[in-house]
Amino acid sequence: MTTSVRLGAEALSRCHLTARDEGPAPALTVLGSLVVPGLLPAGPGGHAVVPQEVAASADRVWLDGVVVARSALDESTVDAVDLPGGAVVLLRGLGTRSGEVGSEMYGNSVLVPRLREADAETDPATSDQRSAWALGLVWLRLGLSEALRETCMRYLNGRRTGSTTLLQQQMVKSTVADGLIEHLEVRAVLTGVDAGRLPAVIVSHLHARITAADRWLVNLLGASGYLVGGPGQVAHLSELLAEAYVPAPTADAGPATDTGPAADAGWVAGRAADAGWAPDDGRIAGRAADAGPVAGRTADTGPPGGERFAGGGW
Amino acid sequence: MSGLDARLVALRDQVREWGADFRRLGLALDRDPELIREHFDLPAVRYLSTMGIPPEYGNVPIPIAGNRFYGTLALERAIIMEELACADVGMLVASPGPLLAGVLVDLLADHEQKEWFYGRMLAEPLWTFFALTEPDRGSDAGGLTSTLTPVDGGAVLSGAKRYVGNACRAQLGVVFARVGSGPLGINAVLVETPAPGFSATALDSIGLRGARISAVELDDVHVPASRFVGRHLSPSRRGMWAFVQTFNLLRPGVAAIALGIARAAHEYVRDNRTTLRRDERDRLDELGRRITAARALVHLAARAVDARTSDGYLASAAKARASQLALDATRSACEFFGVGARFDHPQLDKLVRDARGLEFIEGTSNMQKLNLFQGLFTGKLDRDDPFRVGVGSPR
Ligand SMILES: Cc1cc2nc3c(=O)[nH]c(=O)nc-3n(C[C@H](O)[C@H](O)[C@H](O)COP(=O)(O)OP(=O)(O)OC[C@H]3O[C@@H](n4cnc5c(N)ncnc54)[C@H](O)[C@@H]3O)c2cc1C
Repeated sequence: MTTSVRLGAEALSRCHLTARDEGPAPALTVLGSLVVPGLLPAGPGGHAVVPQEVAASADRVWLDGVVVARSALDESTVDAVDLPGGAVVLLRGLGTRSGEVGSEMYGNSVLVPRLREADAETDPATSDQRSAWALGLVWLRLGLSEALRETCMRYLNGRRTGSTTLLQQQMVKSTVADGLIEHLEVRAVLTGVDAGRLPAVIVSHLHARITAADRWLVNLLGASGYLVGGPGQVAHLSELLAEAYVPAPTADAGPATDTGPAADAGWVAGRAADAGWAPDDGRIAGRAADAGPVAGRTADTGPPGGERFAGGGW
Repeated sequence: MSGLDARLVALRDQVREWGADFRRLGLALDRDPELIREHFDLPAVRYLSTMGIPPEYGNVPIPIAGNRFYGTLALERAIIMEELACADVGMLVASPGPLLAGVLVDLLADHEQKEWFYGRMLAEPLWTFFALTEPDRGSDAGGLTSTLTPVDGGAVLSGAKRYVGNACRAQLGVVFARVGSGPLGINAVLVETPAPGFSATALDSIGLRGARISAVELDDVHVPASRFVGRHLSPSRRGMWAFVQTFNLLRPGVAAIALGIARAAHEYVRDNRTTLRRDERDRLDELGRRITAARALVHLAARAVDARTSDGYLASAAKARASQLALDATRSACEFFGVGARFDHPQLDKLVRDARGLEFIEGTSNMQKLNLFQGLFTGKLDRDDPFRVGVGSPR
């Protein structure tokens, strides 16, 4: 059993701002200490992106909701990257052969832990913790992406073409705006939302939009964004964070996502109404007018309700 | 669609076969880009080491189905590049050979310069480099600031270049620098390394690590007058014009590399997901159709520059299209393997990283789109017959 974790507005804001101002490692440290203190957080497939200190010291793995002993036997380091804010380590094979966790084949080679599904369904605290992690990660990646936008602006403002700067080129402005629109939309959806209140498909969608923003923006850095250790690699790492922890909705009929947050018990079990989301048709009742995480509502107060986003094409 | 004749199909099939070595070595080279030094004897590496050298300078490439392909045509290069990039793009860009510099030499150098350059390339596999981009000037290459200052018997070259493929290990290369102001004031010079005042340091890149992109410092490097490329031509044919034409010729090959990466991603899914759901099959098929369509554009763009070097507008369309396709294909391939795909499938992860670099090589998508628009706006891209194949008779 796990202790219940709900991330309030202030905590989410810390993840967001630490990511934006300090980089991925410090932000992952903040998120980890809030949601899974002392544990090494891994995604549903046993993959992890963690600060070096966590990789070096944690002896238990939080495997998308289930705590298992860390086994050096099956774990391997995919990469270790030095980034602004500190080194980050990419791991795979976490908990895949632990006695507690079953696994099955997917895509010819991937081991997917299964056990935590049942656990998550029966234990609301686990479900809360998973939701908190997922939501914190969205804020964290949004912070990284906003920092990327600012880095791009600085870079482009410092580069000249003819008698003007690159930043003043209309195509460049348009791309910056494309990135900004993604950021604003993600933030609008997040505004006022508390952990546990966002359906997993929406969380996954938000991650996909942040990835889209990063892809727009990172091209603006030119080849300087293709170098190891710089802002281009932070964007690359941010994408891998989503890759490790967030199953893509498009693969949802496969075994990997059958067990993933898309089937999140907490959500299905009737949080929909009080969270203001309508899971049946994928539409969401809006609370876009709410402020950012600092001013966010707690789950219990519920949404103002009523109004719907048009389309609902998540 | 641009159907290939039997000769070119034979070329494609042979290079595809050679590619198996590249595929086998790709991941190891990604970890250690110097590994290429141990593989100069592979048929594909040997072929690339003289690709682009015309027969009159003594190039005798291995015959393929009774034909010799010198790689002097953009279409031939597009076919070769797609196959080898599909096998492994890192091995392709790591291989020695005249490549970019060779295209410039072929287009602009005088006979004596060609004899010297090609002679050295034929004697042993050498890396070459093509140094245009500067730390402060990338897309706006015309604004470059490196200088060639006249001295007795030639000039001294000063300035800095950045992201120059293979510069840290090359023995020969071309450097663009300024002899005067304006677009006519730019000249390319042949440089041999090591040379006093020349230094190049590899930059660690996220992908395309085989390319060993480098930062180059030029501190009063002496360049004899005989190394000014195109010294027999008027300044208007040596300056901006020279690199516009050179890039026109190179661009279909870069587009083909992007295409090859996209195809590699498509094939990876096909080979590693043996059973697909209906929706997955549809998605994969759609990707396949996009690759086939882009190839048609790349090949016609290559034919266009082969027919007329100044016709690089189509090649801009092809490059913008193919580099986007490489990104889309590699990323959507990951979705076929569930959460953590890139952790568990290093080949896929590499494809995603490599694909990202294609956006920048030979000009970003924005620059390609601006160029394409210019072609349309000035009427140089024929609205009725964009591929100049004769109205109503598409090949
Ligand atoms: C793998 C790799 C290999 C390379 N090999 C070589 C090589 O061998 N030799 C060499 O000389 N260079 C090489 N390059 C460099 C490459 O040519 C440049 O990266 C490219 O030209 C872009 O320049 P930049 O990186 O300075 O970007 P910038 O020019 O700084 O561009 C930044 C952003 O602004 C946009 N932009 C710029 N100007 C405009 C405008 N006027 N309108 C609209 N948008 C604009 C760009 O599209 C880009 O998104 C290589 C790069 C890579 C990644």
